[in-house]
Amino acid sequence: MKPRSHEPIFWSLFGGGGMLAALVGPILVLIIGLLVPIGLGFGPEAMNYEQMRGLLGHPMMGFGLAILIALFFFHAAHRILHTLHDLGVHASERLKLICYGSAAGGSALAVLVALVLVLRG
Amino acid sequence: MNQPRTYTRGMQRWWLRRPSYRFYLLREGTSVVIALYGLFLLAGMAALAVGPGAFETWRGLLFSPLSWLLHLVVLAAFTFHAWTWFKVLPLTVPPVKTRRFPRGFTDATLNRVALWAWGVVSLVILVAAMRGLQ
Repeated sequence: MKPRSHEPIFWSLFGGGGMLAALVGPILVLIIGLLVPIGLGFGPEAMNYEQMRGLLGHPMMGFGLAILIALFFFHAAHRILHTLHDLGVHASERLKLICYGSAAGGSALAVLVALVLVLRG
Repeated sequence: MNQPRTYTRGMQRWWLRRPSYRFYLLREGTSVVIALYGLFLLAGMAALAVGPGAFETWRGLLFSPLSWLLHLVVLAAFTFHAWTWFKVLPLTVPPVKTRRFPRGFTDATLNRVALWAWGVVSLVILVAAMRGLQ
């Protein structure tokens, strides 16, 4: 019997991350990185400390952002792993461990930070 | 018996051979930008948890001219990712689901629906942010 593959899990995480990055990524970058800094449609105090603490203290927003970041990481890990393979770097067990391992580590950190923000309210 | 020695072309610098190969690499390359942007957001979150001083440092970086220019590149990468993602969507949706779609629902329809969903979601987030973050 063939051993069961882990591929479906990573494929789903890749797909979920890719879908979210496509649906909400561009608008988030536009708002956070371009509109807020020049104050186009936003006040000069937009995204200040108090405001962001209030926003991310909410479980939906805090954990929502953590999950978004986590899926970004897993999406990238999967694509980078397979593209490196196409570029001639063999997708060895060690490379898989590096790619998915760093994605998992970053994700755990994101969830932990969200937990701190939500618990402090 | 000797194996016949046939010529096989090597894979050296295969991406130079066709424009579509470079397009493929560019598409896959957006994932590097997505990972880096994830790290940038994570840094902001962590700074927020550390305290007002740390967060103001992060926010100061965000408000710098260099950051603004970099975000233009990041936006281009995300938009390219989104465009190509919705383009190949008909190939990646499991056949189990596509079989349940109504008649006349083609790959082009699915692509169009996805692009509309992208537009609507973006607009909703933009309006919510402009109301909520002042």
